[in-house]
Amino acid sequence: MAKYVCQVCGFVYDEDQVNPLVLWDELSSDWVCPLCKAPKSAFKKEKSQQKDVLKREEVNKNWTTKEISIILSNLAKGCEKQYLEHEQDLFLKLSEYYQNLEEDLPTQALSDIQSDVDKDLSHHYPLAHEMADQMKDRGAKRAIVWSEKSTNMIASLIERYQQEKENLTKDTKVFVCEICGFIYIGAHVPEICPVCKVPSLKIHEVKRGYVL
Amino acid sequence: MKKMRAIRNIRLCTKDCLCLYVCPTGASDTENGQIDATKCIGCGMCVQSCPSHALSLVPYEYPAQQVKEPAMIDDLHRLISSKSKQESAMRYLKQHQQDPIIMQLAQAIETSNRVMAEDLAREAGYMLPQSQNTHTLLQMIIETVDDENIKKMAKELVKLLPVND
Repeated sequence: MAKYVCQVCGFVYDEDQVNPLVLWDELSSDWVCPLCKAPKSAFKKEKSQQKDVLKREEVNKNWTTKEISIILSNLAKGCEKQYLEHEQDLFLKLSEYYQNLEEDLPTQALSDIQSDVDKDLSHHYPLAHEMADQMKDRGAKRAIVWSEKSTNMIASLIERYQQEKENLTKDTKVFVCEICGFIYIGAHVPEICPVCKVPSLKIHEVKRGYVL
Repeated sequence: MKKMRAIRNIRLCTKDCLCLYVCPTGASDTENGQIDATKCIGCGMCVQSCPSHALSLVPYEYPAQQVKEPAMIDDLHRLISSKSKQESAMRYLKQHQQDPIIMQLAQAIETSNRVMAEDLAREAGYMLPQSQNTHTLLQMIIETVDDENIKKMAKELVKLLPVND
């Protein structure tokens, strides 16, 4: 018997505990996580503790212009928390300038980012987890835990879109948590974010046919 | 020099108005819902009396941010780079796609990546706008950018946000 773990909220589907027994493979493909409603594809089989040796890539010491834009909009949020409205506004303007300084990455389909998502999940996150534990950096660990879950959701979204196409969001809405980036597909906004537990007023709907 | 001041989270305020009764200077009674910082003496009476916890005290000067290990920053940097790349790809896709559902999902994934990357950047040494890291970044902008208006804004931020670490 095996265990399957929801990569979004951590719910464990334990074949040993299900009564009457329903094997994982017997669950229908539209079965969802009872806790956070993530699709079946967001679950991974619990592996025995055998680690691959992962290698760190060279890191570019200079930030790209797009990355600078991200740091600057993060600093705008830092000003917002201190009620420094004017400073917040200036950082946002700088961030926008840097975002538009270079062209965006030509992309044909949602699945074009699949390999980057997979690499985050297979390499970058395990290494970052290990480092945060080693350094006892609980702050970094928090950001890693949250964004890894949100990344798992993106991975399953892309996968589901390949199979379901436009049926994926038929009769449902799309929401994004402004705190942790978790994407939620459902009829109503969740009461709290399944990942970071922020209340629904910080979870926003992404409307169809509307580009920011 | 005053160390703290009260601020009001207007979304939590249930207009019980107890703050008006306990404030010794009238700083909490304003037409725009904000505390008048010029009158607030940071005594905290409004914070203690507010039944809806809409008021809190914030410091004028924040403590220096936590120092991060370079190896930790590098691991976060790799993640930020990847999120940034994915954000850019989705931004391109939503602007060049006609299919409303792909546009909607691309927008959601773009926003998600921005939020994740910002949070990771915060933990990679960019928590406080008053940090040396922020100051160094602003200096780099001032020295390398051509746009005079952008340069001016970066200079203004350097002036407004003195380094605290």
